[in-house]
Amino acid sequence: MSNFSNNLSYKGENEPLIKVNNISKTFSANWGKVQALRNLSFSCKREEFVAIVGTSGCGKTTLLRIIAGLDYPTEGEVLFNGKRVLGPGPERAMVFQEPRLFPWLTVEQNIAFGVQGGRSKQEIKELTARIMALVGLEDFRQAYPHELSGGMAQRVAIGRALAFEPEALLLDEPFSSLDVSTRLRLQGELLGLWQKTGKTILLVTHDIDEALLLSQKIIIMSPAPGTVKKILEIDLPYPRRPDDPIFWEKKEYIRQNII
Amino acid sequence: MLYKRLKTNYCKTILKGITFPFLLIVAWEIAARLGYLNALFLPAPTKIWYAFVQMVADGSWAENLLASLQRLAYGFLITVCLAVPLGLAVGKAKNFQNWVNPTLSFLQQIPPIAWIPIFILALGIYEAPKIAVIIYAAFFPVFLNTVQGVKSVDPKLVEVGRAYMLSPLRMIRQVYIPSAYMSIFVGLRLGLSNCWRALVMAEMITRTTGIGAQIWEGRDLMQPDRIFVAVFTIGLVGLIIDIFLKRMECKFMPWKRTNDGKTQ
Repeated sequence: MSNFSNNLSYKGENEPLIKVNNISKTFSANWGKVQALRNLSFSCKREEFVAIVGTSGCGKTTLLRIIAGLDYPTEGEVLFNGKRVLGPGPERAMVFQEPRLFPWLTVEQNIAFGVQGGRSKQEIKELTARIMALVGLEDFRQAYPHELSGGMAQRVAIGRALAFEPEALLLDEPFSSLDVSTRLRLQGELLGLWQKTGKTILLVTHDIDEALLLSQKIIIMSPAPGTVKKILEIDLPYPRRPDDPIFWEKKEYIRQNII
Repeated sequence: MLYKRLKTNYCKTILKGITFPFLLIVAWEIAARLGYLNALFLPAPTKIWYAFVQMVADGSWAENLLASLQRLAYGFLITVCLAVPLGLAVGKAKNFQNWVNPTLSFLQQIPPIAWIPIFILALGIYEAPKIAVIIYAAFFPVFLNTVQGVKSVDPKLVEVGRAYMLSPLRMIRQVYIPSAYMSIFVGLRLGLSNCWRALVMAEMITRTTGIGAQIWEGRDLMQPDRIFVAVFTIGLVGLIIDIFLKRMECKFMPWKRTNDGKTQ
């Protein structure tokens, strides 16, 4: 076992898994050019939970899409495990802001959709069953997306990403369209998933509480053009309490830096 | 309980649907018996019914119907095999439409029947020209609806496919085709009813076998009751085919089976 894990992390445990190297991104619209990101750098360790916070329009989604390989930086590069990201890869799975489920597939099939090619039917079935148990969807195997609530649908989307068996999960404001109580519950579940599976998680959010409740490191972005303003290590133990005075202190600090 | 209610509802719908034709037939029968109608071209419904029984008994009804249905099946299958893959390809290719659109719009204006003489000259009077007409009649609705279906695929779902590293083949099979199902099905239904109509015309002109030929034979022999049997058969078969396709649609697309028809 130890031999196996040593092989996997031959670069050493302290080598960052994701390294964003001085990236800039300029979009050209028909009325001119917009710089979305400028000289942005940070890194993320293996099994780390990192949150990227910023106001809407600060380019945090663009940043995540570039890391996912769905978009390209105009300058700079993203390294994953030391290799340059040139497109989507088997070691990164994206969860979008909307669930983006396939309406013609059942919950089970939607999750199985994420399973990477080259698996036998039996393997796919087992993996899907395990993940449905993990995200609490066993009773909804045969349901279609239109029969699910928003929270359920987003759970399926997270399940699909887990079925992809990535090293890193990239989440783009996954809970932003949910009501408060569902959001709190799913945040708790995400924390549990992270502790159980040991995935590296990169969470984009505009919700400061969410970032403080979940992550070990918070990257604060400032808008126009988007760039890293501060990087904040949060070493509070889990589960965290929003009424903790240190929590308040950090929250105030982020609030002042976010604009 | 719910099932029972659904079932009675279904029966009610059918009942409502046949009330009007039933009244019409009764009125027609009465008018015919009272001598208001010229029996030369409007025979009484009972007379048509007797002709039908006779045609069933001597086998000509089934023979002609089967001949027509067989052509329909061949022609339609060939069309689907041609038009759906082609539609998928053209729908995915970005600029291809600009190249073919004017030609397609031009061809679409020409009714299949206008080509029949050419088809007869080129292919004879037996099966080939009829099947050619069917293919021509069904091709455009199936092809154009497939193209439309592929064009209207949600780019967000395509992006999911990209993020999850789908191979091009899996992308077409698992994202594009299911997205286009609805549209393709509309095309198939339109295409099939176009086929059926065009086939009858082709059979009337080539006059060998089939329901269309039977109509013309009825005219030649002054048998209006037989003409009506054939005409009603055409309508009824068309109706049954359409109902069957609608059923298939529900079977193939269980996610559309909900009451409100909303999708994700």
